[in-house]
Amino acid sequence: MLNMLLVIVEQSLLHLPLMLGAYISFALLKVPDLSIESAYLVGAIFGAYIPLVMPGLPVGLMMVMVVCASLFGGALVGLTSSLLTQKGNFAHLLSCIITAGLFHGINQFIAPAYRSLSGASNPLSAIDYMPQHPELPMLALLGCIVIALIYCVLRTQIGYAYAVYGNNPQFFKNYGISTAFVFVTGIMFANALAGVSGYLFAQSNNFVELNMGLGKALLCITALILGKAIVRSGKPIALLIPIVGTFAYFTLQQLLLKVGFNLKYFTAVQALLVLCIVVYTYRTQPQRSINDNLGV
Amino acid sequence: MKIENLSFKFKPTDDHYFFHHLCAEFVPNRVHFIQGQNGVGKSTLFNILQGNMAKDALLEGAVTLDGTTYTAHNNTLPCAFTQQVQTVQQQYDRMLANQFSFLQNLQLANLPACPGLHALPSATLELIAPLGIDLHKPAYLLSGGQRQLLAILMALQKPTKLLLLDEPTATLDTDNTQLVMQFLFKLAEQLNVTMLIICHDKELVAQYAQGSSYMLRKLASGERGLE
Repeated sequence: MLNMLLVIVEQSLLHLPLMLGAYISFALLKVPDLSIESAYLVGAIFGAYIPLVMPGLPVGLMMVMVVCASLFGGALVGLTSSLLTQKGNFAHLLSCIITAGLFHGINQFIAPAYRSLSGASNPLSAIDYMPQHPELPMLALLGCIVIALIYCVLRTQIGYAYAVYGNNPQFFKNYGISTAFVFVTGIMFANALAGVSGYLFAQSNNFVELNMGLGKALLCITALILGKAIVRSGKPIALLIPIVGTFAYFTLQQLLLKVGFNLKYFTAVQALLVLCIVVYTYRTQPQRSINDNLGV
Repeated sequence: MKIENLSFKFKPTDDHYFFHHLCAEFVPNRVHFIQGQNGVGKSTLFNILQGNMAKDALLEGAVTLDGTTYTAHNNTLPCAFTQQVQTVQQQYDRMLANQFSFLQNLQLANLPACPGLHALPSATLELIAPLGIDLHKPAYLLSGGQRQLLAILMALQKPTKLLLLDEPTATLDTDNTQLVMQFLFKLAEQLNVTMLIICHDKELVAQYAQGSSYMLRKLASGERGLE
């Protein structure tokens, strides 16, 4: 039981930056930001590259370097998709599809289809207090830093601007704030966080694979909807939603594994779960939209 | 507030002026109504006063506000004037953030000047108190009239001498129309703000104008005149 709990916590912490990023783009900005899937992979490739090219770095510095590299990789994807939307006047979904295509080609060029990281040093196991779960202490530390960072950012001018954008993108015209700036920085921030999660997942599993970003958007939507259904906060900004949602998602996944459920069908379960919550919410509160109720 | 010899063309090459030597005087800190048919130039006049000018437009003349005269320069009114002018659009919903409360929306109106959400000045809270609105109610749960009041108060969070309102009661029922109009008169008096309201409702103008009603007309020469 304790081991299952530790696995849930570990999986949640691996995906926490991704989920917090998705909270910013899906729930606050309210845009269908599929580019987090590309950002997840590019962040993993960039982050995993550092231990391979600079193996002699001290562990602390190595951790900072890989996080910066994965943040940069993710942010690059976010910058591309958001600029296409703002400057190219594309619908954001189309921008994400074009961005995914562009980065698929770039990734094919700069990385093999499968790269093992088992030979390189693992900065995640630097705080080695738990032999059964050597990466857990570092993941917990990173998780706390990321939550504290997002908590602070969402209480600043730009943080509130993200939530206001989701309510009313035209709001800023009256108040002298650039709508494009809010959108671009929001998507970059969200994608940078997705990039960090990509690296954490790759390092934890000891490989980078070019298809590892697939399905992450659905994972994020499911976790956010679960979080919204559990937390039921009426506040425009509630950081508890992605945190509780992530934990609930992986609890559900582990419970299904425990009862012998084949995880190859889990994507279908996610989709059904989302559908059930949406239908239930519509029936109980028909006057409100999915955006208001579920944050996506 | 005075408009003095304001002349305007959409393009310098146009044969006729849209406004030619337009003059009008508005008693300060009062509510004034501007009527006129669609397309006669009411919104264009508001755009000129806000400084929203196309690059190739031509503007001459001056505006006097609070004893200071501002002359059109580079085909627009100077920033020193337009910074004192705020607008509430006909689609006032565009000014609101629905999930945020009445109070938070007012705080959000100050967002460009603050690093986060800050407490409102007591003067603003005193203005709102008699309205009996639950300040913590999300904007989407407020009535049309309350949302319009919120949009007006949000516009007034910046230092304002002239408030332009484009059909503020067009989508409201009778009760909400009365609520908004009474609040506007109170605001003009308490905050020393001159208000220009575009309005098509003749009954409403007759009820509230108190001699401060202007008609914008297209003259035989093709130019517009304010009577």
